[in-house]
Amino acid sequence: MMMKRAQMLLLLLAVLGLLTLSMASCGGGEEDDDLAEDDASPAESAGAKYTPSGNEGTVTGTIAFTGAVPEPISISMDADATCGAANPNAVVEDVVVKDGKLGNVFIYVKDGKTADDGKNIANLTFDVPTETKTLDQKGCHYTPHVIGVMVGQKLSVTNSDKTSHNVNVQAKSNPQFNQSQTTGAPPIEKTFVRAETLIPVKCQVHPWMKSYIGVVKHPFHAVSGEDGTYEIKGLPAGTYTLVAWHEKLGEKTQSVTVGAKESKAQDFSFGGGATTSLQPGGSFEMLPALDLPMLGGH
Amino acid sequence: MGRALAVFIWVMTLATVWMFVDGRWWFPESITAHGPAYDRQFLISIIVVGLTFAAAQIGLGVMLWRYGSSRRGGNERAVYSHGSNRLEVVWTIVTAVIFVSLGLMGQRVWAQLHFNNAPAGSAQIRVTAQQFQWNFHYPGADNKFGRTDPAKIADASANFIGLDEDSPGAKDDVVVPTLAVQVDRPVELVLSARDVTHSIWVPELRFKQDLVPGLNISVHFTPVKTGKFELACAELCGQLHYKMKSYLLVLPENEYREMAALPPAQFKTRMTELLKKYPLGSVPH
Repeated sequence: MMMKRAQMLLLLLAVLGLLTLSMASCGGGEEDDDLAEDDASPAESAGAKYTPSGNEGTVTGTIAFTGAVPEPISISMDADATCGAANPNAVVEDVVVKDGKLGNVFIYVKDGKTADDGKNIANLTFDVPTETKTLDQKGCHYTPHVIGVMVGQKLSVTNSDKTSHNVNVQAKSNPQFNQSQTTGAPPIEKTFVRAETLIPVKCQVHPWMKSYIGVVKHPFHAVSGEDGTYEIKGLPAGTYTLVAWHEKLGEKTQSVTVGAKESKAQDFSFGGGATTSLQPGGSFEMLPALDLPMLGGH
Repeated sequence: MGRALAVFIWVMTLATVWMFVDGRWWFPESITAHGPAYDRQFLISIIVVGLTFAAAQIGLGVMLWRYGSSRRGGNERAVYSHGSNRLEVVWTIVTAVIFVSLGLMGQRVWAQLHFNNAPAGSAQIRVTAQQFQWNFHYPGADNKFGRTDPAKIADASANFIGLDEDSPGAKDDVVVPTLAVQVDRPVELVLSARDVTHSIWVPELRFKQDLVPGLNISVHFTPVKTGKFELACAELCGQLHYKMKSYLLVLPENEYREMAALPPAQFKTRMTELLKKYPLGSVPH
């Protein structure tokens, strides 16, 4: 009798154990980012793989700045002496202009069709570059200020400073991450699963630190250098919509047609006046503060 | 065993009292006009509380000594007592009188700083706390603050308080993460917070005040010693709360006036130089 009851009990426990296991594995499956479903395998969603024919063209250009050049605003880093010592002449980098040319503009092919077979570039897949892009924190600012990666390409965030940083990647379509990185800590390596232009990056410790990551489905993107120039290589012949994005001055769009092996110049121009700001400070909505009369009000 | 515990309690009581009497772990020096009154009030409170504490612990030890059980025997046996209503009433009233008196005495010092308006001629500095940085807003040479607008807050452009550059009086305004004040001149701080509750604390100032989102809280003090002192956030404000620190610089009149008249860029550079110049602590002026 006793044996029988013990056997029943064991059986019950085994069934319960199995149930728990199967539930746990189901739960685990759900947690596996649904973000990964769409774009983890771009080949499925994006269609045919593009094989370079050797006839690809190049788009180059210069980004001009026509407005009044803003006065450089110095950043006071006194709260973190390490930052101040490493970067004593730090200035804000939201508008970087040199000799009338605008740096830190992200230029990318938004859509368009290839000349050969009229395929939409958004539906083609391209080899993911094996090169790891590095976003470094040096002198308490991000280098580079704007960085472009392809979906699936490795991004390495490093800390070259003798102080701690906190990398807050505020993605909307990709998994976010918000991670502390002490001095000497190993690089934080990530890949992005979806195209997203552009993802703001901020440091929670040093509020002036800001960077942007442009994630594109293909390798046709570039960032304008200090001299305002950019170059997009290996573009299949075709007609495309080219977008130039600036964090403060907004977005400009132009159509560009590139022939086989052609090097096409496509310049952009940004004014310093009122344009759409893509980085609104107005993420804050505050009511006017109350003056408390009992606390020696004004 | 009871006697051993009694001795242990007496020793612990003595050690505790010694830690206060010795003075080694006392407050850092006071650098404000209201500091001595604040310290006096604290001292009176600690003496009253200390005496009560010592009496209670010694009494507890005596009871243990007399009535504690022992295998060797010889101790008196404790008897049950229902207590004395008269005694209860007396010590409740005495305690109430002592604590209400201490509260009333302390309130005078506290109210001078928090309830009264700042004296005429005070320097005004606006303080906006954010995760995890202090922003001190100085009016510049014209002594007028520019308008601030939350919609203009842009951290990447180093506009942490949303200063409207085009508003009257804004051009020479300076926002830096360091609090600099002039010695022997009253200072009024208008405190506000951008995100969550923070608290401004400089131990040497004998002063700690919360900054609450949605409120402008006005406080004032008069520093009387020059030097550099640590300023910390004393309200757990998030993961990197420990990083939210800065300095209070109390400067001689000439140094302060010279810096206050500088345009923003030079003001910031000068502040960095002065931070390097002063060692931590007070210096004679």
